[in-house]
Amino acid sequence: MFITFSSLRQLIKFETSAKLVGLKFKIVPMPSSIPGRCGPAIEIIEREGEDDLTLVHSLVEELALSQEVNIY
Amino acid sequence: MNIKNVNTSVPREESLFLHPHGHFDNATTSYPKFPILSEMIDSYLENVGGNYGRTFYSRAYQVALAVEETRVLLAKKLGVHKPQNIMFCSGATEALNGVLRGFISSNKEMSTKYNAFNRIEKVWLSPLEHNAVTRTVHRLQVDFDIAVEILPADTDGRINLEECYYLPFTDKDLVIVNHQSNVNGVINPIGELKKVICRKGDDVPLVVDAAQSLSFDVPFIGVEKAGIDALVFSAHKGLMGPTGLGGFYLKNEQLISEWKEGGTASLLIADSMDMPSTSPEKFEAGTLNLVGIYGLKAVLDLEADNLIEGMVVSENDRTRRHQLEDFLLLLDEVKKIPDFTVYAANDSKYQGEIFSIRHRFMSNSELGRKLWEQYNIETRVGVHCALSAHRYLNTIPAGTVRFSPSFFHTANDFQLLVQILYQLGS
Repeated sequence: MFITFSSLRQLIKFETSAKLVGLKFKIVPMPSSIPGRCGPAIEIIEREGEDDLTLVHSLVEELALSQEVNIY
Repeated sequence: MNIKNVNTSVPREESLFLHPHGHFDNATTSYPKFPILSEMIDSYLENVGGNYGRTFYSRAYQVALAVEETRVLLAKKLGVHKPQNIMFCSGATEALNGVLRGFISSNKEMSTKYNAFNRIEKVWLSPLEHNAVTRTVHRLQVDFDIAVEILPADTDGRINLEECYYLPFTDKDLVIVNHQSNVNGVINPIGELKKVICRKGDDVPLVVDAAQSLSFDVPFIGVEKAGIDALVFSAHKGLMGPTGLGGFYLKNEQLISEWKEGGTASLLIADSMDMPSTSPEKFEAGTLNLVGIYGLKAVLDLEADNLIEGMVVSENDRTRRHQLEDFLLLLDEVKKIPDFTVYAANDSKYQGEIFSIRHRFMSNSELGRKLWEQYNIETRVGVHCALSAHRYLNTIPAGTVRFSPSFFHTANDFQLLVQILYQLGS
């Protein structure tokens, strides 16, 4: 699962909180499937037995980032 | 500090300032700096070295974090809730050029695009503006046919709010004010000014030049609360950071257009020929001065008391080595010395840590040279890039000899300076 952000500040905000809730992730290049963009994105390393997608969605909502992120 | 019974015959060897305590030219650039500044710059160059916002690997991400943390520290300093409204550039001069051009040219030619204000037709300036403002406004006056007026002020150049109250400001006006003069240290009432210029209901934009007033260790006025539309700062003066770095706060990114185009740290529109429309990316084309930002962050972290344990050494002690009262006492003593004319605020409540002098008989260059050659005292001599201020203070064409102490000067240093000026004055 990849998450892209419209700005660095939002990525940093998400990254800081993601660590706190125990998500496992990497900072990765913007996926090539998203054309015309550059910079970092976040790849969530999904954990067995955990509903990471729901966790990501609730984090995005909590941080008021729903207009600023795309989840692939 | 106790400056009494000043001995006017201090032997030269006792009067010598030890380097760097002779540096009374901190309004030009602050010196010395905290050791942590060069440590962090070295660390960036040797261990980090990434660019900001362009890519994903850990060194680059580390830089992104550092830049955004610096923005947050500056926003806290300025009382600004949105750190993204703080932009970096090469210094206060670039920021003033860009912001003033943005307000004036945007409002004339791009009003259909932004519609934030009506076309600016008149610019109001304080009488103590730096050339970065006056030369830019002069150029814009030629290019855009705007009127320029000087705000009413007292004899020391401080804006007179009572008289401003009756002026007919409208939203076709732009007001630009120097927060602290780089010639006589006068502090202007920027906290109250926005209310006065907007009292008739029009939103009159206010731009503040805080290059001389923003200090890393002294609380600053709440910029957002004061309603200031744009505020410009420099990193290498009171903020004790490196040269080549400054920036500005903008209340609303749509107030002005960007003044340069190029690559940005935007993650959103790399496939567009237009610059991003959101701040800070809209105003930060090209690679930022990351070396400088690392250095500035180190100093602002000192204020935030956020150093890694063990890194604080005595040289990085953030306690100012003198109080404002010590400086004001120095000023009082200098005013008593015969044959010197002192240029300072009429009321010490509005005095920042800068003043100028002229001697009745000795030229400024001779005085400056004697201070340097005989006492290792570094001053600025002549016209201090503020022609308008010198005209107002009637110190044209020779200018003044200017003193601007450092964070590290002590009350004893001030006492020594008074003794030396007594010697030279007599």
